[in-house]
Amino acid sequence: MDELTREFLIESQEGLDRMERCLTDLESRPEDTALLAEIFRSVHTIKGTTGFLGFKRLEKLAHAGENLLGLLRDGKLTAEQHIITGLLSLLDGLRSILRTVESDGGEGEGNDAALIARLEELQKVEVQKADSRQDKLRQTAATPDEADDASALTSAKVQNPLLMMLAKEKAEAQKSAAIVPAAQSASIATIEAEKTVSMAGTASSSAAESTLRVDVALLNQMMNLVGELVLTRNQVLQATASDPKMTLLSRRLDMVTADLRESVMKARMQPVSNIFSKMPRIVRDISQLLGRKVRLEMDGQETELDKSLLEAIKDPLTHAVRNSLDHGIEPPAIRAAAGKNPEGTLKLRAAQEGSHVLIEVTDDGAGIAADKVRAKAIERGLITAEAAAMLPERELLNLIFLPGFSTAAAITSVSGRGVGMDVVKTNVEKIGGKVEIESRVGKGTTLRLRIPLTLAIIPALIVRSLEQSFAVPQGALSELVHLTAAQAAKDIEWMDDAPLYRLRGQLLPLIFLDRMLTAGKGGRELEGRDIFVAVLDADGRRYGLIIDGLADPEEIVVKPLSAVLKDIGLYSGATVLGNGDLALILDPGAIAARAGVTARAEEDAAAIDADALEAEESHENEFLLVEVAGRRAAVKLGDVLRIEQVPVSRIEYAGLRPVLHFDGQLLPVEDAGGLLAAAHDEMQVIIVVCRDASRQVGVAVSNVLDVAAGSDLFEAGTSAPSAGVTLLKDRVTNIVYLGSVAELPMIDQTTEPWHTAVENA
Amino acid sequence: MRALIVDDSRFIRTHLRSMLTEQGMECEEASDGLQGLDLLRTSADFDLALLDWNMPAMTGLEMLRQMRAEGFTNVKVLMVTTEADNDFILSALEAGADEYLMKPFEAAALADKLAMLGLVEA
Repeated sequence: MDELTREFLIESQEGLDRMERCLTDLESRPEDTALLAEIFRSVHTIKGTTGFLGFKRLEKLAHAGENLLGLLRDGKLTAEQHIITGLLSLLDGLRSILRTVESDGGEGEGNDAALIARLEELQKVEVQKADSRQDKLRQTAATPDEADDASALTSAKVQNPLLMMLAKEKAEAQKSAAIVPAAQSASIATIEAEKTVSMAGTASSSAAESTLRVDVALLNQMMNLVGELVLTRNQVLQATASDPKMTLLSRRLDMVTADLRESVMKARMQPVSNIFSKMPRIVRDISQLLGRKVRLEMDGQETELDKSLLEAIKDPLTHAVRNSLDHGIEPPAIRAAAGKNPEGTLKLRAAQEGSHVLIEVTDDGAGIAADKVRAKAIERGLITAEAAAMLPERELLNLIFLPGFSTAAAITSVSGRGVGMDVVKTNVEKIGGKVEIESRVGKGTTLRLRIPLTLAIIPALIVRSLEQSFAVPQGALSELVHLTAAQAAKDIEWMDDAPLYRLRGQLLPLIFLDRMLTAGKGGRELEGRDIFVAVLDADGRRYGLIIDGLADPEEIVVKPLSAVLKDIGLYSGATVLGNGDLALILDPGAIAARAGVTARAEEDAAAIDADALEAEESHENEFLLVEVAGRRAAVKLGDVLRIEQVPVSRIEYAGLRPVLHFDGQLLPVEDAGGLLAAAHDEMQVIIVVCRDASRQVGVAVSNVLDVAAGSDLFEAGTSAPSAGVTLLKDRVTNIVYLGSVAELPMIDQTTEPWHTAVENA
Repeated sequence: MRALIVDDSRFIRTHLRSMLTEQGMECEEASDGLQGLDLLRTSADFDLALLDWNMPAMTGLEMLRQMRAEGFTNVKVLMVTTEADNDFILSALEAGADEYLMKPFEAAALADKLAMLGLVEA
């Protein structure tokens, strides 16, 4: 494509964007001459330029539009609803041809006859209407130019006979037109307004202005080069750290690089108005379609964001707006009935907050009822009823982000389409952003998107695994936990073969990075080493990534991956570290998906966790009812960690005390009923693993009967070791007193697990 | 020879500039009448002004009137128009334009007009 055609395309698209903004404004101010002039000019310019390039189809269509717009501009026609709709079709028509030109250089085969006929129809109908009030129009609508002409012509020095004739005709025609001073001042107002419009619009560059049009490819290249420079700087800083002579120089290099990086990043920034400006049209179309009355307010349009990120949030934002109109703002009648303004308000707000840009979509609609979300999520099988019952209201709302939440019943032509809020969330998280929702029933809903300012250079934590460095984006990292070998052995729990870690009461699924990368199955052994758990949040999944070690955090430059590495699917890019090493950038979302950590598993974990907490906190009186050698006994449910069935052969003896190797520890086992002594090696025995203060003990039981709520504790009236008695299922039951389970004797300290158990006791 | 191109369309400015440069003219650009006037006032040695009609901030006609009023009488004015601007040609000629050129035009048509204005040799 030659330079001239490209110039034409860019300019025409800018013009149409301006036209679109003006058209939506025109709905509320149909008499605004400045708007009409601006719209006319956009189409006029396209028509004027297409001729040079021989684009006949565009020229014809633009010509038809220009005629209609001419009537509007000259006040011979009022911009009523159906005309605006017609003009929007014109806009779409022109855009689609421009797209064809852009993709294959020609105008394509399409036929615009119907659209042109419609534009002509709009003129005709209106001309008839206009005729009836022509006198009125004559009085009020004499354009400044005509008025001036009329006055100028009275003293015309006309040299050319043709000109003379034309002049006479014109003077005749305008004899009756009053020269109204108001028209003059109106024209000044118009000019002022136009100036503002053109300022607000995309900067129209010229030699006299201080802006310059730069190819995006060139900007991208500059960004890459700055990236290389940042890498080189990191290496120079490391290499010269010990040389005092170089310190000053490298510090200077550091500063200049940082400034340069910031400048280039700024050059890639574009105001969010670039996407906000599409919204009035969308809001208009959808609210008409759905019969809503909606006022759109936009704030902070000057907030800037990296161009690629802006592109990336366009669809999620559009979807969010659609959703607000479809499911948020109620039809006018319902609003009125609820005592609200029949006209709903949709607010789009953008603001920079530190290294993030915050974009909010707020409606004053019906809000989201947490119960309905709960019911729907259960109905769709996204969460169990029990788990849902445990979730606090705020978290319930987050269920709408689960894949599969909005389907079937929710599909309308507006926001259904099989995509739901999960797509919004996924898209925003893909670029390192976050989505939050807040809603009050009857008051409205706010959706908040947090977008990082830039993607190309990100802060990352460098971690070590398999003797290699990997970069973990800081955006996904929520905390780091260091576990000594002993703590790891104790605190990591296993659910089948899946390791879990209880972090401040929350069950966190764990992923071994080394096993993931080597595709190794791995057993339960932690090989007695210190580990780090990087707690990551990605795509609504929260998990702990087990790594061997940590290096410094660094600002890394994201480089695209070769196809081979991309196919592995666990990496989002590569980078060169300050020490010159190559490091792959881990993709936290992909790792979670590969390991089978689902957003749902997290909900389940939360639910399990809630269960545990509830048991501990409010159900102090729940007991595990067991049978020990024909007698009933009870263990406080809050103390029960696990119920294990083990062969008797696994029970060992330390002195006379039975002990059980369990999770790398030795548990002292309480055998009040003499079950173990009576058993032979092939039998299975049930051990209830309990927590007693800071240690764990096992209780050998014959059977687990039930879980039951007990009454208030009675004072223990017997001398048997008991924590008291309680009334369970109408029977007085002894509570096993864990404190009576004797400490293990301090013998045989040679085995590590033994040692550990003592240490932890 | 120096030419001042006043048009809100970057496309037209670029196009005109390349044609005029072919003709051995040096060009300056402005995107509306106000900017055009500024350039006229600050560098007074223009031989030709090519004015578009429909521009934001100040139309070509307004600029033409203003520049003639301010005494820029020896700058030839070529109005660049479309056929939709018929009425405008008349007003422009009234206001002191020297020639007009209808869009779209070929480089040869522009060269003819320049020759008629005595700016280049025919």
